Amino acid sequence: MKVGRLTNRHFLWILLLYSFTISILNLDYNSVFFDEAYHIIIGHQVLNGQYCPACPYTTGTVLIHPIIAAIGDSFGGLYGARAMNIFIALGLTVIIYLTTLRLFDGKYGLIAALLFMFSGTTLYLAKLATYDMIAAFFLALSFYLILRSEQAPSSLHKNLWLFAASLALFLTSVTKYLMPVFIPALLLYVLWKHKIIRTSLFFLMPLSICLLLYAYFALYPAKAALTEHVTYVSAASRLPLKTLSNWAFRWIAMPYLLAIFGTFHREKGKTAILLIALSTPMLILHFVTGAEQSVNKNVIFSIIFLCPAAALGIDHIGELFSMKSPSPWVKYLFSIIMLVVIWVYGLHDLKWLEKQYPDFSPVVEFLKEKGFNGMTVATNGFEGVIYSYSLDEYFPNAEYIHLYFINKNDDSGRPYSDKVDFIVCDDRFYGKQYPCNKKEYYIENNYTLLKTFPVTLSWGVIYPKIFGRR
Amino acid sequence: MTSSNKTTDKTTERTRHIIAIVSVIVTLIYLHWRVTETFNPNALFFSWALYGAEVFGAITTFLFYFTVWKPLTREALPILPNRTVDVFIPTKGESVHILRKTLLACNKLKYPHRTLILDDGNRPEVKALCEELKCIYLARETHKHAKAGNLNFGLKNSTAEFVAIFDADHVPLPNFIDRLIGYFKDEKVAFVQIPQEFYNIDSFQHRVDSKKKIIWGEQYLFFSAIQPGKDYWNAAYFVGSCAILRRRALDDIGGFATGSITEDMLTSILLHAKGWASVYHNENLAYGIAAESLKPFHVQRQRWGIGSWQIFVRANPLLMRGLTIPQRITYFSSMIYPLEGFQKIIFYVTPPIALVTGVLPMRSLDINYLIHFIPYFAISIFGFNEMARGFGGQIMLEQYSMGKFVTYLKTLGMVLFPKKSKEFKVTPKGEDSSVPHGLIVPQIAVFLISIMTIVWALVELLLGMRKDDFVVAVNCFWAMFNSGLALAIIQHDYKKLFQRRTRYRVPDTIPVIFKLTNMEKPIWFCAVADDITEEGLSLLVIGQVPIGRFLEVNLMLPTKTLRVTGEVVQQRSITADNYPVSKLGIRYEEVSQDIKDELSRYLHESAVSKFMREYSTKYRTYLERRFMTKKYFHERAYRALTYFPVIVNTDNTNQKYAVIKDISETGILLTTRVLFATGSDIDMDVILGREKINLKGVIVRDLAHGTENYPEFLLGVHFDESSLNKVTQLLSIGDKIGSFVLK
Repeated sequence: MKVGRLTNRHFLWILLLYSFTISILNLDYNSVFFDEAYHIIIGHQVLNGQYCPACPYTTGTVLIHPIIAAIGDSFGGLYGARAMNIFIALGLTVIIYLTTLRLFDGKYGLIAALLFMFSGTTLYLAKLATYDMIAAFFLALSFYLILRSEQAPSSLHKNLWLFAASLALFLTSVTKYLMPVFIPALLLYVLWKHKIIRTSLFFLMPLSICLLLYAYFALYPAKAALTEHVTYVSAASRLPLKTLSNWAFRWIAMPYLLAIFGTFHREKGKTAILLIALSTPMLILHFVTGAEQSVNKNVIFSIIFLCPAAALGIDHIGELFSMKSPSPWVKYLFSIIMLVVIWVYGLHDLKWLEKQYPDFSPVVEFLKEKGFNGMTVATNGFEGVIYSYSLDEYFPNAEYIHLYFINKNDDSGRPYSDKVDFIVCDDRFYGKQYPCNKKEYYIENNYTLLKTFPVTLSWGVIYPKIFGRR
Repeated sequence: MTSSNKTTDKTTERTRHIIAIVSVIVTLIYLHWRVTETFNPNALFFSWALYGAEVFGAITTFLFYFTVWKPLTREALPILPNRTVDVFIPTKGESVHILRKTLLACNKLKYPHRTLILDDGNRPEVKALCEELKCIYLARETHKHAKAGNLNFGLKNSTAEFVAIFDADHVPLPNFIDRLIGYFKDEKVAFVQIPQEFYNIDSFQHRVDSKKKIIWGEQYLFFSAIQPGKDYWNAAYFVGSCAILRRRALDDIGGFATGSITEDMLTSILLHAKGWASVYHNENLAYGIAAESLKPFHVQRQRWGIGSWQIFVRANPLLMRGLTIPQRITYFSSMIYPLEGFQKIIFYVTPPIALVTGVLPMRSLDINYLIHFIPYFAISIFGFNEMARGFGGQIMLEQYSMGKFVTYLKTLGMVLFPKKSKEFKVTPKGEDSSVPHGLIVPQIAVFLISIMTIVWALVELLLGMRKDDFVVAVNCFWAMFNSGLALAIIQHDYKKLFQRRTRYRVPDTIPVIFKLTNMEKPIWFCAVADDITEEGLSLLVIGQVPIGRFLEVNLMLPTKTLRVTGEVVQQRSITADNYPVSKLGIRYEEVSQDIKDELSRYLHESAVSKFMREYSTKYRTYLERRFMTKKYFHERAYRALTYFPVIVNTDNTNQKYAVIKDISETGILLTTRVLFATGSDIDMDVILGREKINLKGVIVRDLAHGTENYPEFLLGVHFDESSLNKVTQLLSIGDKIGSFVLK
């Protein structure tokens, strides 16, 4: 596609610039999310050579992203950690463009890149310092390299690209322990496109060896972490299929519907079916396990496959609405209107996602004002990692514990009940975390309510409370 | 639209019937669910309005399924000799130029007959034309009852057993009466109707896909599915032209009915009520001029709409004695369509209202709604397309519904306030290509309002002023669809603004030799005329000729060569593999009337028929693709559609010019004026400007392509080994020429 002297690449640069600007200008949309805090803290511990046995249990993995987040944090604090993901998201956009270019052509590549970057989930994860974006990056890279191997001119090149694809797939697997769910689908695709010997030698074998070596030599045992995580998730967040599908499809309904339209594309519809199939493993995993946790983030792994198919869908809808007009501009007009609708929905979704978790900045500010170095704070979720990360600079000797431990003793044998100066009750996640009312009697007798903070979220209002010792 | 093409089989038909029944059941379930569970108590009027539109859609769909349940395919019967036939051509304001073509063709009708012009315009020039062409001129003093009165006036002056009726623009083929007269052996047959086909396929109501060779026409559904379907129920009706009627049957009902401005339908109802039978013979035997732009289209549809209302009030088929139940149902189905105007306007205004106000005509628009709506919608579309037997083209029909919804709304007003509706407005034919800006206002309004309300809702969503994102998404999609329909119809009409020629040119492939005039040493070049009219032609030339130059052109028609001189008034050029290729628009200068008449005869008798045979008016439905591909449809390897002039090397100099119509890696399709039998060798030179490329091959297929008076043949040629290496270059050039010509 050429408009005057502007080519697809120019448009792609404009898109990247837009995405970078819109993300970088609003990095302080919310206080630190507990996963972000975990990742940054663990990353620092790994970089400083500190042993952190509990780390994998809380993050799912400790390798690539926590280190990147910690490096970003060293340069710019939370903003720095979040900004690292923006660059990864931009790289991922380029990969989606190149993938679609290989599958179809530059016009579709540009539309796929637009669809990806206009998605609310993408925009949100691009500035959330968790491992999802980089896991998606390696997954998309792996698929792109598989396509390169498929179209390579010689056997040597085919083998090299396939080998590189297996390494990328390994990296995504160790970035997020859920990612191996994509291995069977991609393996089948490679088997379909290559001979069984090439697939075995240059894809399956390197991948298996890397995964085995990782499992054997990893500092933190992957299997135990994964088992612990899955057990916890299935116990804590099982949902009925209807609710789960509503939650999942809320974030991918648009690319999914467009991809379905893409299957009706006269020449390339079959590829759209294939891409839809490749996008499903993560959704199937959620539906089979009934696990709700992170489904709004995990859909990004489907989106990277759906976008090229959805680009066909845009083209097909443009054709449908232009009613076979002899002028190509009519089709462009409707394609552009569709993209505008998707852009608006992306921003609308982004606003929702940014405020899906509570903004605890007022609580942090309160503790900054009333707290002191050496204080002990009990919270009813995630060992107070949010406050630990946010207040570390001000109160390096403060201790943060889970409310559950308030009747127990610390390592020196001193009861926490004597130590805890503040109790923060911030029922997150629709109240499913350890609720404060389990300790209601104890809190009422020993503590006094200092302040209630109404926090508005996308889905309602919650009222975190902070109690001080009487 | 020919009866010879077998396009259906039992399995397909049975499956279609099952789909239609399922569609009816699903629709009833959906409508029941809608009325019991979905109405918005806070917007009852809005809810009922949309529901009413949906119910109307369901009723028309059910009636359509009934009408086309079993379309009848008939084969022509042997000619009945020695019957008397008068041909009536009623006219009022049509130009002499148009009438001349019709009269020339009527004079060529093979069956013995008289031709009578019934001129309600009382014009001396028409009288003079009749004298020149030896036709009978009749003009009445009063013009009561419009066309029906004029036809009755013709009956008073005729004693023939049968009358054939043509509108002034309908040019019959020579065998028109021969093909139809046999049906009257059955004494109960009152009339035989054929489809109204049109040769100006760039008209407002046609869409052409030149590359796939498919034509879609807004009336094809009626003439190719509905009329054959009505024929099965003995309810096919006379459409005012291209029909033969039995005089005795007309006398039985007191002549052509005068109670409506659509005298044809009312006449049919009265005949059927008296127990007469009708026949619909689905073969193109006459070609007319379709409404060229929105204005004549509007006039025509307005007249039909008012006529339907008039018949509904004065001769309601539901109440009239003598009709069978299927006849009542199918006539009722043909009468209620103007209500479509109300249905469509509700569909067009619903999304903007929902987008701006957030008020919905249902309690909630959510996934539950879509779960009910999508199966109903999908099966309705599928059912309609299958039962339409490939003549539906639902998106296209929706576009035209957008084009005429206000027209239909107006007809009701004109019937309620009948001052204007008494007037019989003749559909303007031929020369009126003006753009009626006023008529497009409703479509422009739908387009702008739809787009503006989409923007409005998106801005509100972006600013966080509304939370109903699902409602906005669905309505944006719907509004976008409506705006697409509106834009398509606006654009289709406005393209007339940019069309320079006033007369429709018939696509053809006529070999031509030409030279520049005023040259001391004239050089003759070979070329191909790829479309032609009585006023000019388009010439495809390897080389370049500047605008303003005069050419002497020898048109090699199948039976004779016509010599014309013309000026190059238009030129488009490309370069195909280093060969300059030009498409020249040539306007004749001072062409004699004899040559014009000869051209007219050739165009209407041969070129139009050939062209319509080459193009398909039917899409293959899903079931046809599923069940019938191997049996009835033949897939062909890729061929570049192109035009190359060719000289066939034979001893007979009269036989040498031909045209390549398409080319593949192994062979060509050649059109010649002389038959080369299958199995014989052929040696030819393809002319590329001043170069020649010699090809040799063997004829593998020969087909008669022209008509009795203008014989032509299509030859499939398979190259021999020595020619294969030259084909790659020709294929590449041909591909470019094809794209250039079909652009």
